[in-house]
Amino acid sequence: MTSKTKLSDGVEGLFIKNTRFNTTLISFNFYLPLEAENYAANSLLPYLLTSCSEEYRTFRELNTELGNLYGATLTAGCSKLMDYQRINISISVINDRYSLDGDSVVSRAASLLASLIFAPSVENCAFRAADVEREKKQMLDRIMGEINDKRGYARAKAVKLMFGCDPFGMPRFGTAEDMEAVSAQALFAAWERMLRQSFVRINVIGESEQTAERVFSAAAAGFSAVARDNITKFLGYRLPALAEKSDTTERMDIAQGKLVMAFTTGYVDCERNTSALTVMADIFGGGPYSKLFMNVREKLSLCYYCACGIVKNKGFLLVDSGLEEKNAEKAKSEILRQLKALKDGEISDSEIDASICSICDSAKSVYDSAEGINLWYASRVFDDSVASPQEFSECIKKVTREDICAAAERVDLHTVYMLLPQEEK
Amino acid sequence: MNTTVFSDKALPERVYHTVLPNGLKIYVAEKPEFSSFFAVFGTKYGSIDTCFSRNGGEKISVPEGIAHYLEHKLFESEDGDAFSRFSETGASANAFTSFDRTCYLFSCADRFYDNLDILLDFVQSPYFTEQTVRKEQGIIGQEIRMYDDSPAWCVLFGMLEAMYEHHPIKIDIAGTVESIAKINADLLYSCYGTFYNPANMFVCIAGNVDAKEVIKRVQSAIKPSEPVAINRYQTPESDGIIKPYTEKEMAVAQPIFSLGFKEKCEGERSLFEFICSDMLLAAIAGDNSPLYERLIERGLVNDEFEAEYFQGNGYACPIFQGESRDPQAVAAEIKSEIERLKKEGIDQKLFESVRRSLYGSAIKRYNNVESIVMSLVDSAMSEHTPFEDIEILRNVTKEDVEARLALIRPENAVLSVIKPKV
Repeated sequence: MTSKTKLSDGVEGLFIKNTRFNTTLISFNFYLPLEAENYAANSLLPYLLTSCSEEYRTFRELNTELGNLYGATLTAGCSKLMDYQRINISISVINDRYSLDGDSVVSRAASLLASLIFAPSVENCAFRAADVEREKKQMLDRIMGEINDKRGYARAKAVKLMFGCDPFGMPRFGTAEDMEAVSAQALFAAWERMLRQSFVRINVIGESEQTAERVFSAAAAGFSAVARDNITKFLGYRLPALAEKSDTTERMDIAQGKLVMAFTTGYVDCERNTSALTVMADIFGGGPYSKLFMNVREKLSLCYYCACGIVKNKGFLLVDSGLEEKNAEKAKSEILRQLKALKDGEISDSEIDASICSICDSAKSVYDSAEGINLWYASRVFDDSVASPQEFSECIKKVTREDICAAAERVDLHTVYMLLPQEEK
Repeated sequence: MNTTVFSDKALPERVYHTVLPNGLKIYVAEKPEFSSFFAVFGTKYGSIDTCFSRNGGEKISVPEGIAHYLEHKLFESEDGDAFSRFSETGASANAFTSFDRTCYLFSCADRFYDNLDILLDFVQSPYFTEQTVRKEQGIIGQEIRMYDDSPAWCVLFGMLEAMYEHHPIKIDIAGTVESIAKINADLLYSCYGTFYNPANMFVCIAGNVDAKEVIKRVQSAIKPSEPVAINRYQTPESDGIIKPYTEKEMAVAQPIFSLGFKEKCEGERSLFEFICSDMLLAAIAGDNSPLYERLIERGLVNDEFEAEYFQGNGYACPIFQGESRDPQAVAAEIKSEIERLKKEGIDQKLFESVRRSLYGSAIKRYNNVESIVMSLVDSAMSEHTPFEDIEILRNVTKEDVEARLALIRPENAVLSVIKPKV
């Protein structure tokens, strides 16, 4: 059961009743336009806000309180969603009946979260310099550390090459240069902008309506002290202006090569109108029944993984694989050959059935994870054409072979990026 | 055949447990409100089981990585592979091999019993030919290569190699490209025949099921087999380490480190001992410890810093790992914090915060069918009962936790570092 409440202009509370869990999850999601100039400050902001506050002046004090709240999990995050940047601050806490001394831990956790968002540790229109430096150092480590995960690094590189000047191509947390330049004042401005201008969705996932009402009224009170203006609005789906097509190879001291192929999907639209694309991408490189798994891995033994992921609302899909340099061309040809097979309608009934069955099975499990529910609803604030996982499954079940071929027909290779070992001297 | 029902006074959960006459252990957690199901069919057989004998026969040494190789090959049978059977039901199937276990699993939201039948059938139907075995070498070779580029993996094995002289824990789970080249169908059948007998195996399930019905279903699907007596051989391990420091260069942003303290260990730690050590590590290096605050304030670590109690049959060591511009300075700080705690003890408030935090984590585990099943697998592997950890966390004292400090000896520390390649 879900119920939505309007709390203020551009601020919504969504209560998703779920009695399966021993916990309550409260999640604040703020959506702002994806803009290069604010990107780094927006990325850092949720981490800074969840490190200390006016009430908990040091992160050790804050972490001690979280421990006392039976290891309440406080999470901060920042992600790209179409042309928007989503700032997320959440807390998950065990329900009161499980506390050892009958303590009201859910209320305490809810108040803690609200205080982190509305009453951070600031002075003279800036965050405290020591807090900013500490969190900046952490964030710079995260940014520089992206190279440690070669698969993720290669994928991000391909997206960057594909998107060129579009801010969607920005690295996950922004560039190190931009992060270095973020000041305590700029973060204060980002905090104000987040409260004043973002579209806000507060998700409460738990068993108690009363908890949700308390969270929503505390949030409404918090926002009543904020001059809301210039609120972020959904401007519709648009195909991004991409960079020129490119084929790039980079070398590094690594053992295994990484191949990433980025394809355009030809259109972006609401979820209801992109079901065929979802099924097509899944048959291409989803589960072990997919064409890439069956051929590039199982038949040709070229790799351990070769998979396809799709970003429907930004109009692209990524295929990636880890392999030996000598097999890269062979793998690339096979990937394109399998795409052509999809375009030519060489799709068996069992492939279609397996894919639809698997996608619907996963959708049905969304309600078994509070984090999964939160992500489901937080990713769809601008698109309620498919409100629930059940409705999504209904759309998927209607997809036909012709729909799949038509979706494949529009898929076009745009960027190839290879990360390869150093050449032997 | 008796079924035991386990429960905890705070939780509405029930776990049903039985042992079939052939020795197979079954654990079932009923989760009536859930849409999804999770099931594991596993064996007490992992990468460290490289030397063994069957039914008192001769000692067999097998190539490193064979347990993992067998896991890959078991998905194939004479009439097709298990993945294609699962693709008809929509389940998501997978498997993993660790140091001491191999688990085959699926998650699904529909057709649970069909999926259970597939799982029980394919794990009991080995089919290896020289041709199918050879085919896997390219795939697993690339899996090994993938781990060769993982700094977290390399730093751990660097530490284990500098710590253990004989114990096979130091061997990469998937073996090496060279060792897997020695694997053939006969060796796979030999390992299968030894370790995949019901007395060495377990089935763990959580979801909206009737436990009695599931137990009946499993019992009827298990093929008859002769009992097998397994002897595992381990070369005795000295108390000391091989060398205190090891390093390697890789393409990383800043140094990555792993600091471990080899503990004297015969057999396995009890659940109580494990929980006390786990709590001790949280008190030494957890999010609200004085050490963590000091290291963060000095810019010596970031939020990747963590501590883990790593233990199993014949090995135990607390491990502190993370990223740092100066791993030696972090190691010195950790050692001095341990010495301080040995003298001053753990702060009572910190102890209480750690205890509540771990208690909360144990409660949260029952939010998810997968985490429930994984904890049941731990029960099947280690002979402790479900919910036992929650009861321990209710009663554990600061003194119990402090007693574990004596096992951490500074002379047995190994620091492994991955340095950026310049």
